[in-house]
Amino acid sequence: MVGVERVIIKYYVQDYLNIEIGRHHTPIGYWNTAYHHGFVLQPTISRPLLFAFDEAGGFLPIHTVGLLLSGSNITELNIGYSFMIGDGIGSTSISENDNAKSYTLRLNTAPITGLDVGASGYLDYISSGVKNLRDQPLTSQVKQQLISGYMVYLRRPYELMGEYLYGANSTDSVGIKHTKASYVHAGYRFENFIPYARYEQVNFEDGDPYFNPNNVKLFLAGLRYEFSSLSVLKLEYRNVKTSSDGTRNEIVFQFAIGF
Amino acid sequence: MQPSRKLYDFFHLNLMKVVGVAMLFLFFSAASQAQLLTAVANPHGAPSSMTFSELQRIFGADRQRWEDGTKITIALMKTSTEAGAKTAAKVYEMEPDELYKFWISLVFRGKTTTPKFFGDVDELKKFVDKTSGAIGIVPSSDNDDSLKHILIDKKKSW
Repeated sequence: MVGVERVIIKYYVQDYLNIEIGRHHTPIGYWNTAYHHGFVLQPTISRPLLFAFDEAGGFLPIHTVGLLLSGSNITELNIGYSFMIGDGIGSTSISENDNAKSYTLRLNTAPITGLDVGASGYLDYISSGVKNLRDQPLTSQVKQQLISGYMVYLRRPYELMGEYLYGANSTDSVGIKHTKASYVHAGYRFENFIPYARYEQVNFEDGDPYFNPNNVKLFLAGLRYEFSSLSVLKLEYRNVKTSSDGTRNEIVFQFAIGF
Repeated sequence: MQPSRKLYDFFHLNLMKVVGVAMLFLFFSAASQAQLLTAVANPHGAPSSMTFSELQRIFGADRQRWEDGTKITIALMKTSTEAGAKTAAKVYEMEPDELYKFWISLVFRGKTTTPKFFGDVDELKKFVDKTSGAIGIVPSSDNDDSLKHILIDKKKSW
């Protein structure tokens, strides 16, 4: 069985305007569109909890089918933008469940080599009847708003990344429930060896109508060895605390290659 | 000492100094020329001059089209060559392996297509010559007048 992750038709108008239609990685934050599914490209074994895929317990709309307008290289500050209108949560890759659309806007600037700073916002109306992340059908429409900001500095020998997201799911009956999620990552290159560490947390508010309120705090420390630009070995120690399962310690390794 | 002898010694000594300085100048000139790069382009598309920061934007795929709408096609020497390694350091401010990963990342994100990499300068020049909109970087010492030069910050070699 084959799962389609991305299929895009792109038309280039100018540096400041590209038009794409298809299934994209939603332009929220930095990590989701910088690394997609590229384990050989991303600095750690797994994605931050903030951007975990659905099957790994993720809570954000990682993929969206729709129209994407984007541009880059605007002014000397190298400003870029992405604006997406999509089918929204509840739709599938081939069918739309309602007339409500999702809207995503990201703005970023890369004023100097290696530095990228940006912010994004997402708005969607999730229809009644759509299953929430606890696998329960919603009894009323949920308005979902997400706001995020990031700062990334990737220039050898430094790897510094930080993202923060605030989410608000609201219905007429429960009001507004807040979610806060963030991560910070730091790494330093010594030739082909890169030791790194990441701390992240996700905090849901009890009674959230859509998210599964399983709060998580995770600390990881790892070592990455790059044999080449397309083959890399990663070894990590992780300390994970969840509100549902308590604390666990893990040691994980990954060998990723690209071709 | 005869005046003519003094005159001879004077001119001989200073002439030797001048020749020595000139030889040193030529030596370092040749040595530095070998490490310099030149941007060459197809007659269609690229302007005749640009700033270094603009060159970086073009080779970093931040620009996809020339002013006349011609698609920009980038030609680079492989980073296993001296010129390729110099290009990675000067233009991209990257190590050679880092440059490959940079391009893989851009292509993976759907931002652009890969540039053309060459192991031989003549092959790169032939490609640029026959490809509308192409721009490449070659060692200044290997360059001739067969291709359009682009002045970078008003310099032919940099």
